[in-house]
Amino acid sequence: MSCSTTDNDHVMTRRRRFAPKGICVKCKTNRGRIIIRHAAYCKECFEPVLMAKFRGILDPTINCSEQGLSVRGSLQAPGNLLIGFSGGVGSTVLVDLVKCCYLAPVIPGGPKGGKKHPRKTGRPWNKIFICYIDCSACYDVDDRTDEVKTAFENFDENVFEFVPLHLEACFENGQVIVDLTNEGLPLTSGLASSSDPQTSLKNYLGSLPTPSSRESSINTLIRLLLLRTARSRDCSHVLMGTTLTGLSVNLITSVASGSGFTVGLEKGEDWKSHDSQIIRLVLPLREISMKECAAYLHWRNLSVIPNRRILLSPSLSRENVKESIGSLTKGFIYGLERDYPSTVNAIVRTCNKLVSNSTGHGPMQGGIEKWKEHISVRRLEPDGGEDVGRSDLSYLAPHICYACNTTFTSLSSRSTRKTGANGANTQPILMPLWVASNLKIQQQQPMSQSKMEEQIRDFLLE
Amino acid sequence: MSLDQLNLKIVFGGGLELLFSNQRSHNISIPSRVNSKLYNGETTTTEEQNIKSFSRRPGILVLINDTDWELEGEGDYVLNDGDEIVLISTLHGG
Repeated sequence: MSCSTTDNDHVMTRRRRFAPKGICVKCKTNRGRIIIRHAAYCKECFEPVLMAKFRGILDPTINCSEQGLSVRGSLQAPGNLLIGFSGGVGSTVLVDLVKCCYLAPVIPGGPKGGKKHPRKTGRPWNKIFICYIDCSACYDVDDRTDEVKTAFENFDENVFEFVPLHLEACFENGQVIVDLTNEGLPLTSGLASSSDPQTSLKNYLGSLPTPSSRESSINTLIRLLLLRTARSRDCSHVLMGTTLTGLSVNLITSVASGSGFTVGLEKGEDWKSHDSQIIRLVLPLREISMKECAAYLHWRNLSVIPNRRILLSPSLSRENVKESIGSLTKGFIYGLERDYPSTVNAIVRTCNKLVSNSTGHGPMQGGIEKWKEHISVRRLEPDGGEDVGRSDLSYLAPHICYACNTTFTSLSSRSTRKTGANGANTQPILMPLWVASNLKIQQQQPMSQSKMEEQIRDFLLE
Repeated sequence: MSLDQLNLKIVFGGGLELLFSNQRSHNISIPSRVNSKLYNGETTTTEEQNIKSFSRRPGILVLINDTDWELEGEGDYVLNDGDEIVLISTLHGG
């Protein structure tokens, strides 16, 4: 007889997670107040444990050196600090932790603290900017900048400087226009349909094939805009409030979206700008779960800025909407965190071990078009035979990573690409402003020996 | 005070207050006996279904009297008069 199962076997019962007797695992005297991965912590021990995790990640990255660093001696960053602030749980906790751990005020007559107390060591950064990027144009909702600015008044204005931005700033003075209907992504000389940055952003997102590609594009634009803002403000560090849970969602999403080659960049990176300035992107909450952040938020009496779009999202009420890979992964991981919290941690730890075999730099992987040709059954365009090896600057495809290539060209039955009357989007699309400068730099790179020989072959004497 | 009623303090955080007139703290009185159909998942009306889907959605931290409800036995906990229930949303994550 085959292994038949009853209906009840399909239902996996949820594991109970009560700590023995509910006593705090750290002080072993007080009653536990919160369960973190099967261990109970009291309120008094919870905060120092969370701060130790936070400092354990951020401290070694402050004194920028090539091989990580020694945390001995004073912490002094070579530049300023920029914190990406969305008004959500993670970034609110992040700002408070930075303030508590690195910017302790001097209280006359108050406790002095030990040798390494922030009051003794001084501030690691001269200036701290809090950058809010408004994405209202992406979702056709109200601009929340004023709301965030009002909430910012609760922070110490002598310590932090508020930098409000709009995501459409990525398209101001953009120069490169691309035809997204061709897999090679040829650069066109035609004019984009609008010179207004907000309309350009909407056209750009509207031309992407799937909800997943739209979501990953918004995340990429936010990340790059933060890094470029940091460069313009002489910052050496950029911090984001991505928690362990959020990072786990990002890792699974990025692997599913074709970013497996560069999955390591999700947990932070050393971004090198064109003027060789290194900006370190750090996620100091990457070992702190969302549950810990929520408890910290409550016990420190902090407030988030309510986001109507996220709280009232139709996808959360399971209406019939086209969901992205990101939102489906979020639902899955949040459920996993509730039922099997250690698994969420295991996802991050496993992805941390992955190393790409790249010999180049950055997220670029060679031979993308050849790879795509071998793994997929696809219809080539009339000029598609020339795709492989097309490396001149009249095409964008050879100069972007696999994930971006997939973002622009993914063929899907769930496509949401805005189409014209003839069934195809014929409008040329304006690319973000940094695409032009990146292409110029690639043009200036030294020519390979074989290409040099090829160009002067006719003039060589036998 | 009637024994049929429980007085509770409900506190919303993490942006959930947006759904409740932008007010974080609410003092409410509820019947001490819960509709057993709702408790067992045998929902009938749309309103009951909404409550059921909300209560089972992950991403919301629940504290009962400042203690994680997992330590209090989650759904097995019997509410007492004067309890404080805190609900914090983590849906707006980063």
